[in-house]
Amino acid sequence: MRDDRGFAIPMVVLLVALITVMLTSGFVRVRADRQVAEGQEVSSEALSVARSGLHLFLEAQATRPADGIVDTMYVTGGYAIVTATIVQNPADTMASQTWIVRSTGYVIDAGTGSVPRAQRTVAQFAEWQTGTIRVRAAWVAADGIQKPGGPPGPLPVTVDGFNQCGGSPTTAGLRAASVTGPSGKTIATSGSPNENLSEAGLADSSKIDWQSILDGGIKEDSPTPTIYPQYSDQSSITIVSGDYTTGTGILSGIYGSGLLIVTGRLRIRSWIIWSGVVLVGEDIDFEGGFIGSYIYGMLVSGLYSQVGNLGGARSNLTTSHTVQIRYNQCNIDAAMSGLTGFAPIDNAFVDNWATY
Amino acid sequence: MTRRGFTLVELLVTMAVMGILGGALVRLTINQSRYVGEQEALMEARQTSRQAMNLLATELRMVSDSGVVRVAFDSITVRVPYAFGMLCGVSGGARIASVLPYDSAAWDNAVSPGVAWRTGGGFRPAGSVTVAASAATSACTSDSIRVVTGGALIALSPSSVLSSANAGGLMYLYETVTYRFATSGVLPGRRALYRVSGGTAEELLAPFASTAGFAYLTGSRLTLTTTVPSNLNTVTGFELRLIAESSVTPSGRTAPITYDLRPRVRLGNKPLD
Repeated sequence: MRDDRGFAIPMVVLLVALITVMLTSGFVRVRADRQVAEGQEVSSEALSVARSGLHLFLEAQATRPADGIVDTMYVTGGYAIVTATIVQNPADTMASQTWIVRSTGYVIDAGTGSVPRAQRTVAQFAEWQTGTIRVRAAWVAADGIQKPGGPPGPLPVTVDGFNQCGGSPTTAGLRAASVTGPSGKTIATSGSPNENLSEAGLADSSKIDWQSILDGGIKEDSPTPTIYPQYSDQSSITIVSGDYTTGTGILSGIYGSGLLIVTGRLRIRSWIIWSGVVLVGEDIDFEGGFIGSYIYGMLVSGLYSQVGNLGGARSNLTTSHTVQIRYNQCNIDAAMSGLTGFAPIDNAFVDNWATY
Repeated sequence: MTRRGFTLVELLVTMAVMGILGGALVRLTINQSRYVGEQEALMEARQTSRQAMNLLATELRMVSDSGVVRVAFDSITVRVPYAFGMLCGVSGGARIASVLPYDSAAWDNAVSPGVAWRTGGGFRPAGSVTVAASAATSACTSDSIRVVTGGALIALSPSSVLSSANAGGLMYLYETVTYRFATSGVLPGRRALYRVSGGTAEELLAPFASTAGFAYLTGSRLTLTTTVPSNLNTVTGFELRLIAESSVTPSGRTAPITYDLRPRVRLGNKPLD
């Protein structure tokens, strides 16, 4: 028998070993690259978790939390430890507090236990809005009032400081910086007092932070008043940036409830029926008619004088139709209820900040 | 015992088979080696792109109004916030501020700091300031402003740069930073990403392709453009064209491997309206 001692097996073993080493080396490199990519993905997830936790916390606070509150918010992919601290606590209880709310997001993978795979801290400045407003009169005209010319006699305007819904104290009827026009033209006022027609510093004494409103401190539900909004939602917020003039037609009026803010001039050429709070930066002019204008809650005009010069603008009452402005605390409370809670301050977000 | 050797034919056949197998093995090894080399080069380029993205995105995300100072295809200059806080009153000729806890490394490394304050829904840079520690707590407490745990009280001078800013307004300290693609000092003949602050240029990463640079996102719709906007306040973000290269040209190739990463970063503290 021949003694055939080949070398096929050593060759195959060598070949297989060589290929194995090369493949292993390749896999190790690819795995390392994948781990780097996964690390970045997990870091992004941590940012997401931190942001989600922060927003959940802000939305969840129906009543003002304690200073320094620490809460855990569970979100998809992990959880966030949220801490809220007061930065500015004004002595005036009507003014908004400024808080810093920070959130550290932790990414958890069910497969790897409770040890977080990544974490990230973000923070957001926010205001705690009290949802209350100082009522100084049914109508505070910080811009002043211009009465129309013509023969003496009562204007069809009633400003009433007695609370329509009872229970709450009565307020003043009309407080105006000044009233100009024929002395024979009269406005029917009632309340406690009925009227003060030469009061200085009205815009400031209202304690409404107009600059904050101009800075976007309040978020609107609707950008423009419409003729038939959801009247049942008494806490809705409507903000008009700049001037607003209604049409002259009977279907062109403003009908609604809640908080209406017009940062410029509000010119009523037809009518307004509003249950709640109306805040006007410049003058409000009642010029139209058809069915008259009725504001049941409170009206403040001329608020822009807090931050600038009104240039002599005054609210005028040239309408020949009924205007009634009546204090109604129930409608005011309902209108302001939508403002209770945290309001994030725009463009004041801190990302990847020091953990503290 | 009879010993019989290989016949000539057996030897020739064996040599031929071994030759074919050996040739295939060498070819396989070379191909594998090239493949591994290319993959390594790609991973290196990808790593460079990703690291650049992380560095840039972290700082750019915090930029706010008037935060974009200069832009060009190969460079951008921005004001990068590194400490947020609230302005208090004036004490000893300096404006006092209560700042939140900050990254101590960023604080220590900040060169020629500036201050910006919030007004009209956004931040406005007020100018360069000297920052020092302060103990004038009454300047803050009189406005009901606190120093949060881990935060600090600082004095900003001259106070005149903030004369029109109200106490209780939000502020931040910023550093003016330029990110620039230019010739590398580490890899001669190649391009690198630099971070320039206070006149000092630091080479961050290299190498990048000549096509690496910046494009701009403008307006509330974040419209992409490569034309430098005439009004830099319309810039609401950047497209980072992080086209990195491998440091060496892999065997069998005529040029380095490139990795084209183009993340878009919105300036997070800039209003979109």
